[in-house]
Amino acid sequence: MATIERTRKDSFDFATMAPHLVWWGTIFLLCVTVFYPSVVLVANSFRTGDHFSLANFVQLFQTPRIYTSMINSFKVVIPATLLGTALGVVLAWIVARTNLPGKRIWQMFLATPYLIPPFVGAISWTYLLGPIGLVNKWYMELFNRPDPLIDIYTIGGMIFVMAIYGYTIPYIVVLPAIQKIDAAVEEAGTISGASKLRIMKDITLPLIAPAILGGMLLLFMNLLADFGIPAVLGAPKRITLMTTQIYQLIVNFDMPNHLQIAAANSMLLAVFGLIGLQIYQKIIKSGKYAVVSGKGPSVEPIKLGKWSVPVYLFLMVVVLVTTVAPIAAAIFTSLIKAVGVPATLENLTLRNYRIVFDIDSIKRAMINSVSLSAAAGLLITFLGLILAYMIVRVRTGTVGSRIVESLIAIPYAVPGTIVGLAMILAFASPLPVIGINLYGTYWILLIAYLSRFMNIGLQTITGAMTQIHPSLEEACRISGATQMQAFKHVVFPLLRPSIYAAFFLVIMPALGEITLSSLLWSVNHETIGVVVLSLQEEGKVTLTASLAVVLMLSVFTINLVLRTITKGKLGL
Amino acid sequence: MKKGLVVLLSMMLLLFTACASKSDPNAGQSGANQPGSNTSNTNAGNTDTQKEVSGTINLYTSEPQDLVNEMMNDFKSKHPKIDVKIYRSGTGEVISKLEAEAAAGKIQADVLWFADIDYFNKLAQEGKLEEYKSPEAQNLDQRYIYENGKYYEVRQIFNVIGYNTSKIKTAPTSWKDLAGSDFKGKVAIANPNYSGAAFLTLATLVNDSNLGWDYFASLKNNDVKFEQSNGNLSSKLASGEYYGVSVVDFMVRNAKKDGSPVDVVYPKEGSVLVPTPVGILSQSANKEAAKVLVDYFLSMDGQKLFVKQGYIPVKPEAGAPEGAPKPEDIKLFPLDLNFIGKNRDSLKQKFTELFG
Repeated sequence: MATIERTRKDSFDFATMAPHLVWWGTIFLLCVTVFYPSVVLVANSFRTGDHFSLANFVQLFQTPRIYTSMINSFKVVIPATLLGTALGVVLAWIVARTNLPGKRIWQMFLATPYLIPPFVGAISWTYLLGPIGLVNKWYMELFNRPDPLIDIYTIGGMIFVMAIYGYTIPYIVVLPAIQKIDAAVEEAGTISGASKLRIMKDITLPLIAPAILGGMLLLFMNLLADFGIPAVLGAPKRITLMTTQIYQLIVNFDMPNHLQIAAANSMLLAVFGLIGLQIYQKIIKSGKYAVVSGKGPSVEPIKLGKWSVPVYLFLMVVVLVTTVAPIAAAIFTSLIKAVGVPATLENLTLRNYRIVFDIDSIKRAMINSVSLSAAAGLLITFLGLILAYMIVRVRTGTVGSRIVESLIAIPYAVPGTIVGLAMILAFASPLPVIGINLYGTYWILLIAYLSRFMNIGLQTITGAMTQIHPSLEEACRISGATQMQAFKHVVFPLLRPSIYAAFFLVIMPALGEITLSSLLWSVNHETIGVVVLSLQEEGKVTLTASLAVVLMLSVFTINLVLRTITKGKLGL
Repeated sequence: MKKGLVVLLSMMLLLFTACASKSDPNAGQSGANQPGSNTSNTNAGNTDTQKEVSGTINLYTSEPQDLVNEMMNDFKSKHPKIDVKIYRSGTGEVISKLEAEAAAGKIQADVLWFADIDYFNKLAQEGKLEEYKSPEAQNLDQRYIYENGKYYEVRQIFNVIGYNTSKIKTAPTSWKDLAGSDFKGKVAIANPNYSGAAFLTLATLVNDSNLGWDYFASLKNNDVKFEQSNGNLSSKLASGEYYGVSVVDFMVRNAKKDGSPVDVVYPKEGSVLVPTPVGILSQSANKEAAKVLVDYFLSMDGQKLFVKQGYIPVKPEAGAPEGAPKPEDIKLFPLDLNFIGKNRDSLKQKFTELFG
């Protein structure tokens, strides 16, 4: 031991110091990009003029539009969460427990909606269920009705789209939990004479209950924080949810104190996010039931038998509705010459794509989105690797580690709208001391992306690193390697797939990012999300569709690359 | 694993090239400040050689994205050294952006072009607009030159009625037709808080003794719908979601040209002339380039492109778009800037009260 201690002291060089430098550097950065904006946000929520009070909060409940938006949020998010969870659990169960043929392919298809940025999904759905969407048009022509069957620009429409895209979250969370159930437990039930239903109700369900609850909470937080879907579907009838209402408050410069009221509104919304996170972490910790150990033999799949056809049909309908139909509708819309012309062959054109790629701001937006995502991905992977090493190995369980972890978790746990607002409040005027003005620059977007997505990267790498037993490194050190060498030759190679994963898991959501971008963009610093939304708002239907198709294709391609690199272990 | 490394590396390369291209405009801008600024040769503003003027300018506008882009590509081909960056949104949001930037310390825009003449008026009174006598404005009708050249009208748009020809067989003739049973639940207007044209139309129709707020109440009874932008009105009119809308004329004209089943009606009571002025901010860092842009809008090249894009030009000799009436044949409501300026907030407030 003593010799090792000495080598540690002897090799007091840059290589060993580097992680510590990065550690303190990151803490400093976190203070600037997370802690400082949070404090400014909280302070602003209590500020009216030059004194502090609860007036902003009181005003929230006295302004009908704001008050209604809160009610709307729950009216939409609760049913969507329940529907999405039910769908996700049923699908996970079918995929995990039945002898369904072609399971791998189904597994991939069923997770696809997770890849589609929700606002792009919402836009695609308007081509089907908008008042003159394809479905409504067929209905009106077929039955000769003057009015559409379904109107998607409603609370109901939002619930539908949210559930359709949201089910993937509980699906992804619950699927591994079901797969890991020890067969012996269920067999014990069978031997004791319990019926299949009874086993399901009294054994299987309680076992996966924590996973279901966890998935449901994650979904709830995700939907509550979503900005894209209500922004697209709420605009025509001016239905606002909390996120879109906060956005409108932020941009409403006619209203005195609008940023402060938005800050107060954000505080309320953030509370839900943070409470959700707390409960989620409790469930995850307590949910590690020994029986879901994954070591027992897996359960024999249930034979579908006469249920084969209905189950197959059900899955086909799900894939058709959630993935194929909206994407097909978007592709179709992107190919028509003008809105309202009949869908004949001579009315199809690639002109819209040409126009889209010809518009300067769109070209800029593509370059910006790609460079922002790549920069965020690289930096997060790099910082995440070092931070994970510090958290898992060097400063295990210290107060410092916990502070760093929560500073990184906060911007991910609270809705993006709030992160955006905090950035505006903190960086709209020149920074104290150094006097740099970040608002209106490319860098504010990068900072926002970094703080927003850091958690994904860190969690991915920490998770992998916890699974590498320290004995491997110790063996290295005993054989005379430095800490740096041990890291380089032992830990790093083992982590490599997770490092790639962290990179791609960051760039996929970053490419289609809309919430932060729509608050922080400026001329020259547009992102794809911003231009899609602005084309949509401008009523350029065919151009919006073209850009949406391009965005979806990019994300799918990245996912494919990820799958290839990790040989199918990561990616969907 | 090697493959992954290659992907990572190529991403990094992409990032660096993107960063490199990022620094370009700054270089252009700092270079621009040296030559152009003290050469006040205003009458060199012809479309030919403009060797001295270069650099980047920001244009804040409510023009349709594709049209303004086409125009700037044409401008760029004639003035390759001037790079025009466009910020495009609804008039209301462009103004919000300006106020936000002003509050943050610096307005990033050099040239403004949107449909709120009252706001230009206010800016001019605050001395924020640069007075510029464009050589291209010498033979321009005086009514298109505002306040001695602080801002200009560069083409004309009118707020009119658009209707879907496959749903409505007898063309409407009057504003009041939109409140009739043919259009029940199928009529829409743009949100005056977002669209400048819609606000001006609201103000003008309210100010008309024959129509007034009663007219908007009758629209409400006819279950009128709202859209943020004229673009939305136009595409939803084309798709048949709406049968009739109050909209700017060129959009419907263009949709008709593309084959959509729509047509324009200039109502018998009058159409609403929607001024969409162009002005240069006096605090612009690159006024010379901005002036070249204004010259271009008023030049015969610019005017002809406007015609091609479906607009009625301010210089009649540039021609007229297909299917458009002669400007002198369009019956207009008077433009009462005094009324609009005074009632700006109360109109918007009353509108919000009426429609919730």
